[in-house]
Amino acid sequence: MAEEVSSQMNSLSISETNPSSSATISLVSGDDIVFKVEPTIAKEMETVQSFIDETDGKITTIPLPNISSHDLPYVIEYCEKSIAGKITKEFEAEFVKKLNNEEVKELFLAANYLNIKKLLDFLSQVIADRIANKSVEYVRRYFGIENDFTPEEEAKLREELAWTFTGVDPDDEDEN
Amino acid sequence: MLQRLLSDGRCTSFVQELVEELHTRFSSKHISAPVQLPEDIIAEVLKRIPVKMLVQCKSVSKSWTRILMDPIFINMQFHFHSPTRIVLSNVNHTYSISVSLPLNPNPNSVLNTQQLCPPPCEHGFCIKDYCNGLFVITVRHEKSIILWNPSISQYRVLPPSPFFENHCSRGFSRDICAIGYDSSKDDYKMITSTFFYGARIFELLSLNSNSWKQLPDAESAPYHMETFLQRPVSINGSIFWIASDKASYKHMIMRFDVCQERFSLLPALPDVNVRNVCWIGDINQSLCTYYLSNNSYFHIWSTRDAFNWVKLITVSMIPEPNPRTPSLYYVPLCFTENGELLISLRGYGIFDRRRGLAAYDPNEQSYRRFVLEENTYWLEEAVYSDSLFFPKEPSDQACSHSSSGFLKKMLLRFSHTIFSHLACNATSD
Repeated sequence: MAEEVSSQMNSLSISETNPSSSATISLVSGDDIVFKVEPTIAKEMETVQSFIDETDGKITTIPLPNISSHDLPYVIEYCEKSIAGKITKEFEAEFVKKLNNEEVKELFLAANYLNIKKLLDFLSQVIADRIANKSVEYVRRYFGIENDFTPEEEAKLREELAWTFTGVDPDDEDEN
Repeated sequence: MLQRLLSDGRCTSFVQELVEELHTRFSSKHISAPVQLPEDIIAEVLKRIPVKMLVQCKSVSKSWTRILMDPIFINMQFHFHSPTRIVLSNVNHTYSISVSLPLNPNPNSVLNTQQLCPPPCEHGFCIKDYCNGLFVITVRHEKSIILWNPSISQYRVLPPSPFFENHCSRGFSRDICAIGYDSSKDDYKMITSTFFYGARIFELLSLNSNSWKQLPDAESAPYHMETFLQRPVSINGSIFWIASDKASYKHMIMRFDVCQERFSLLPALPDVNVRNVCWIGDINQSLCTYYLSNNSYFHIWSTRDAFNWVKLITVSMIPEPNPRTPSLYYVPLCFTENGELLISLRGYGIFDRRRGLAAYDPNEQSYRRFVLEENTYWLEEAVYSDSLFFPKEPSDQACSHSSSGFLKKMLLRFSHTIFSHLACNATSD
C-alpha cells in the first residue's frame, strides 16, 4: 500500500482529485509514505475528518507531518478494529505487547495529534499501567524528565512524602 | 512491525531500501532521545494513576508538582474515577479500616483491609461526614474537629466554633457536623448544630476564610434531624439528612443548599404513604433512599436534582426462617464493575453471624458474601474516591489577599482618573 510520493505530494494536496479516486483517502506520513485508507477510517481521525470537511471532500490526500510511517500503520490498525467493533481486551493486550515504551509514547502523540479519542484513552491507560507503582527515578527515565530540584529541595520533599515510598516495585530494566 | 509490513507484501520492493533506512533511523532515535510528551497530555495519563503514587510523583520535577497541584487537574482526576474505597468504622471512637474497590470477583473472597488512623488521634476518632474524599472527624470526645484527607495523608485542625465553645462546658452537645462544597465560591463549608434549650443553633464554617458564622433563620426547627446511625449525605453542593415532623412523625428528607446556605424539604417519594425512610446515601453521585413496606424486597429510589425521583433497583431481602428474628439492616454502598450492588448487612451486635459485606446480583436475585481479612465489627460505612483535594489554610493564601488589596487600589486609582477626566470634559463643555 505504501508508495513514495514526495514529488507529487505538493501538487496532490492542493489539486482537486477526480471523483473516481475519491473513494479512498491518502494519508501521507512525515517521512512521505502514503497510506491509502477507507473514508470510514478517516472518520475515526477527527483531525483528518475536519480537514476533509473543511474542503468539502475535494481534498483526499492529507499530509500528516507529525506522524512517522512507523506509527501510522498501528493507528490505522486500531481504527480498523474500532470500526469493526472488534476492540476487545485480548486485541488491546496483543496490540501493546508489540510496542516498547518509546513506541507507546510516539503512538500516544500521534493519537493526540489525530484526535482519536478511543486510542488516546487506551494509550493513556497503557502508559499509566506501565508506570504504576514504579519509583520516581523510573518515572523520570520513562518520560525523559530532568530532575530540576536542588538536592536540598528533593531531600525535603522526600521527607514530607516518605509515607508514599512504601510498596514501590523494584525498577526493571527499560525494554527500549 | 516494519519487518512484518515487508513480509506482508504491503510495501513494494521499490521502497524496501527506504524503509530499511527509516528503520535504522528510528531505532537510533529511540536510543538517543526519549520522546517528550507535552504537559496537557501528561495530565491525561496522570489522572489514571492511583492517588498515593500521584503524591509521590510531586517529587519527579517542578513542572509535575505544578500539574499535580493545579485545581483543574485535581478536579479532573477526582471526576475520572468511580468510588475506590470503603471505610468501615465503629461510632464508638475507634479505628477505621479501608477496603479497596473493585472487589475480587470470586465468591466468598477475602478482602484486603488496611487500618486508617489520622496522625493526631491515636485514641480513636469518629467520622462525622465526608465529601470529595475529605473527611470531617471529631477527636477527644467531640471537642476538636479535624479535616482529613486519608488518601494524601493530610489533615488540618479546624478552629472551634464560638457558640459551641461557650456552651459545651454546660452540657450542650453538638450532634450535627457535616461538610459540603460550594462550587460558586470554590469553598468547602462545614455546618454544625447544637441543641440549645430545645432549639437548634446552626453554625457555618468557611474553610477558605477559616471563620465561623451563625445561621440566621431556624427553618429546620419544626423537624427532628436523624443523626444516630445515619450520617448526613453530601453530594454536589447539597447536604441531606433524614428528618421527621415532630407532630406526625412522618419521615422526610431535608436538604441544606451549601451555596445558598438554606434548608429545604425534598418532595416525597412517588410511592404511597412513606412513613419510614430507612436510609439515605450516595450512589453514582445521586441521592438514594429506600423505605420498607414488607419483609421480602425494597425499591431504591434515586434523585439527581433533589426533585424528581426515579426507581434505581429493586433489592430482594435475604429470607429469615424464623419470623421473630429481627431483620438485617441493609445499607447499599455502590455498584461493582459487573453490575452487582454492594450492600453492607448490619446485624444486631458483634455476635450476629449474618452481618457482613455482600454483593447483590439483581438478575439472579442472589447474594455473594465477602470475608474481611481482619474480623472487624463496624457500625458505619463510607464509600468514597481517593482525591487530591485539600482546602488550604488561610495563612497559605496570604499573598492572594494582598494581591486583591492591590487590585482594589488599582481600581480606585482608575476610577479617580475617570472621574477627573469626566470633570475635565464637563468644564471644557
